[in-house]
Amino acid sequence: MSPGAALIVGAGESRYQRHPQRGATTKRLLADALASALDDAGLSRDAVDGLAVTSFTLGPDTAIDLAWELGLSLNWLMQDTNGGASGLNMLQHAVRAVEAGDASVIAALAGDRLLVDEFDELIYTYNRATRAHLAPLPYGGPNTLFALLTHHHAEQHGLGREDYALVPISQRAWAAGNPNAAYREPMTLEDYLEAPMVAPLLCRYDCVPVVSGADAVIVAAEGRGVRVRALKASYNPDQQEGTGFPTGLAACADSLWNEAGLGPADVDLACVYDDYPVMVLVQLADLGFVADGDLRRFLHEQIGSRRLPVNTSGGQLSAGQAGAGAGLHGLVEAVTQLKGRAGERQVDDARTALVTGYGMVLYRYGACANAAVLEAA
Amino acid sequence: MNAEGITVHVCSACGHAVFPGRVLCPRCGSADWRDELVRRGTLLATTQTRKRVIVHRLLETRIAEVRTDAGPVVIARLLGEADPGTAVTLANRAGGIVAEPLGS
Repeated sequence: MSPGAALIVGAGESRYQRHPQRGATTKRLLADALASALDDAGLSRDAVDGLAVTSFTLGPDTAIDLAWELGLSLNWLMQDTNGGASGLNMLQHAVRAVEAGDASVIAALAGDRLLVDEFDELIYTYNRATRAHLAPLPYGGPNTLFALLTHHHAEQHGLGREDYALVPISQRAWAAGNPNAAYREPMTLEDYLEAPMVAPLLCRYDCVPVVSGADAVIVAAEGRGVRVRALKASYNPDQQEGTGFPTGLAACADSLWNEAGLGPADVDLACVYDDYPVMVLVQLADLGFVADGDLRRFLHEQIGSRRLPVNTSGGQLSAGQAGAGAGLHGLVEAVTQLKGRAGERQVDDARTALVTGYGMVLYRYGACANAAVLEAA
Repeated sequence: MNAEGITVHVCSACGHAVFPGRVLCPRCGSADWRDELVRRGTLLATTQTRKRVIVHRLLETRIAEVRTDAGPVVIARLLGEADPGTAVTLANRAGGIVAEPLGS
């Protein structure tokens, strides 16, 4: 193998299911996503010589066990552990590996089979800080923490529930065009305002539906696909001593757009990590999409109207959060759009996209954030 | 509630206070810490969680974000009700931090 350019040549997803079928396992779901992405790329399993994987439920097995069980013989292997930021982290490593000639076809996979009690166990044992200081309260999971963050954000920006509502409502409208989304029925403002509260200010529609599923992308040196114009990341920007916004993306924004050679106004769609509506807004603002700082206007004029296509799969809020798969879901959707394969939800002439990742709530909010600018090649 | 306080960790070299504890001080890099008891803080935000414990009963827990007087912001269970800005006392209960409005 020799060094060369790297392209994302395939993207795929397993079925997303609220209640996984009997016999569904994390490894089977990862295999399904791999098959879907290889099919999209027009490649066979035996072409794969590099593997990256992120999963909350693979343990005690690791990436090498997965390689063995998928029948993959490889020259490059990694496992990532950064939750919602893993997708872009794996992408960054895969692109550099192909550029350097360390591998020629890399499959990056992420996903989980998650039953409800497995999910509860996951959030209560997430890391030592959670086990020691949050689980005993009992804290109720990240919904509680992001309810507190939303309170601060709402106060600082003068926003109310009827404003944040535009994020899940618009994403639900996009989900109508995604056959794999868990929820596709239109949502009205009334539906949102009357929904049961989970942790005020957050209601049911502010919280992602947990699904079992997996996502995959294929990075290769040859073929047709999507080019990564720029990718930047931020890990532990503020020692968990801030408010949770801005995220580390604010400090990355200038170098991201400079390297990409374009700006927020130039992207045709954005797939923004949407664990919560507030975080969609925060990340878009951090990356310069709200030049005048008027979030309410941005919400109504750009998001609610769908003038700016954001999370065109419905995002996690409508399609579902497939555990670690969520970190790749936005990338898969962006690649699908840029390849012109998004069917009913296709954004016309989609040529460039922004994708973000965010995750790893260490104590109060996510410590990892990354972003990539993609271009159809 | 007896305001026994909670333990935060203060860097012996530069005085920076943290919670939860760290290995190296984020400010100066020192690995030497001393424990400090802090008894009070200010409520920054609150919310509620509810968990179904049996068929017809929901356990509601009020969760608060508190800026301790020593500086670090902690997550606590709130006893009683209070608005952001209220002064609270702090204690440890069964491994978790609890906060109560001052004067309760």
